[in-house]
Amino acid sequence: MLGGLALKWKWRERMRALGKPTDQPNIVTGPVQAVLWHQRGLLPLRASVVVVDGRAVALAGPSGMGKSTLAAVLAAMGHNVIADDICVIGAGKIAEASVQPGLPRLLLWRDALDRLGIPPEGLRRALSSREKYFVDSGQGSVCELHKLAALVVLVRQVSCALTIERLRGHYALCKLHSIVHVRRAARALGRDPDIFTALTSLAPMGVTVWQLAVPDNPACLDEAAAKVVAALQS
Amino acid sequence: MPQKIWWLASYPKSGNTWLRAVLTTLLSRAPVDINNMEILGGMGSRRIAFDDTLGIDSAHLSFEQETNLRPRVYEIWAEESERPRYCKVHDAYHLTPSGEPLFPVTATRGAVYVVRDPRAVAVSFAHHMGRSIDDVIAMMDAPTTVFGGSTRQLPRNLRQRLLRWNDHVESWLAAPFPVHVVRYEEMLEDPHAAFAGVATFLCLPCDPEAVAAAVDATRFSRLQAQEREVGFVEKPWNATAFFREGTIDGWRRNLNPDQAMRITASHGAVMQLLGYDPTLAPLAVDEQNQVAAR
Repeated sequence: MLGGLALKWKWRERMRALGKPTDQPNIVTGPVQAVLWHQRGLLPLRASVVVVDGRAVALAGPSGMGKSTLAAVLAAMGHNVIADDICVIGAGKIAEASVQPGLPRLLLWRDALDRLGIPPEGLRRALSSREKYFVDSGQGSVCELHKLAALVVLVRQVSCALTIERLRGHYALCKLHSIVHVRRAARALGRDPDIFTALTSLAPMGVTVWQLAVPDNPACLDEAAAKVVAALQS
Repeated sequence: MPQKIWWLASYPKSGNTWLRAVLTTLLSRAPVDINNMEILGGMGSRRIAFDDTLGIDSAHLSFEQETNLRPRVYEIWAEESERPRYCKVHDAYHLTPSGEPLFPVTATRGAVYVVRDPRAVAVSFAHHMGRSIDDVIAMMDAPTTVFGGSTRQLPRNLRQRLLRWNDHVESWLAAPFPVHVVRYEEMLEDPHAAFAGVATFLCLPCDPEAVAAAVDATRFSRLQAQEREVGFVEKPWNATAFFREGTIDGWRRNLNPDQAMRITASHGAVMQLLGYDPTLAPLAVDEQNQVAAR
């Protein structure tokens, strides 16, 4: 975490010295941080993490799939958000899959704020050219590791029905591989065997994998959150 | 051996999806799944593919930054692809903000450009977008029109500049690589000849039996039935259907004379160049009734 912040500070200094804007650091810090996690032998996934009834569940998927918005809906139901956008897990060479603490804030688009009834006034914008905002999740800094209980991979549903299904075996492995952060860079670092080991170790550690197929219709988010909670309790 | 990219380009709602369904069938020799035509090579503006290729998150980029990076993505695709890649694009052929072609010549093998009568495009586009026909006619005449340009959410596709309809057509006709133009109306009237021409250009199987089988497997009614049964990933959630009517002259029942006149006033020169008769008028109400009675 400190390494990532140091990177951001140095980047800001350089940009200021060049008279350039400093409002888009994530292009620098996000991928670089993910590479650093890989180099440290950890597994960065494209996921937000919410603790439901004491169990950490990672909501995973590519950008625009609704990870942060779904995390915000679960937060509004009283569940704690402990990471957004990047979920770093330790797995493979240890006894349990643990989630590293992330920043206690969510990045939400304006449409998501409107759906959630959060006024944008007073929120800091993440980008000057787009209506994306930092929203404090209200839990203060998260310091402790959490045991990962479940991974829910969000996919686009082509029909109108919202569905959640348990994935197992090869199909689960393929889905999980698709949500590994900076996969190309990781491959260049020779991380493929370790990633395979880490992903295949999740099931024996008791981590369940689910696929949540979400229609485009934004009105279905409450139902999606309820399905996630029900799946964890099943 | 690296394979350069074939672009399947069109203004939206001009028949590109049907073309891809036919090409998918020709390549796979199997019934097409409209939600899985990835065998061709995907969509050039797909955000997930962009993020995955570059290892960065386009959600953190400005529109200018993401557009400037798109040529790099296509160079990587061309360098890494081991088989021909056919990518759907709706962008006009234009320069990025940093001044280079969005679709690099070095990454490009050629392009098929599908064009449709802009009067029919206006009607279909209005249904697709959930906007009024008047709004869409104005969009088609605005040089600033973009697809995927929302600042309030993260669209599935990167922002695509469409330019004005006639500028979109002319930009592709002037592209510095081979471009095969096919009219949607030809695809409807004589699909075997139209698709055989496309397949020949793309160096795909073009024997009459293969083309006939692909045309039969992708009849409009079959695509409609598949959408009704399982849905279609490219349909906006608030649109009733993606495969809606697919006719040549349905616009004559849906546009009023003023709307048709505005389109021909803006785009008439290019319409004539492509063989569309700008003097063709919408049907009068009694003519429409006669058509409906038949």
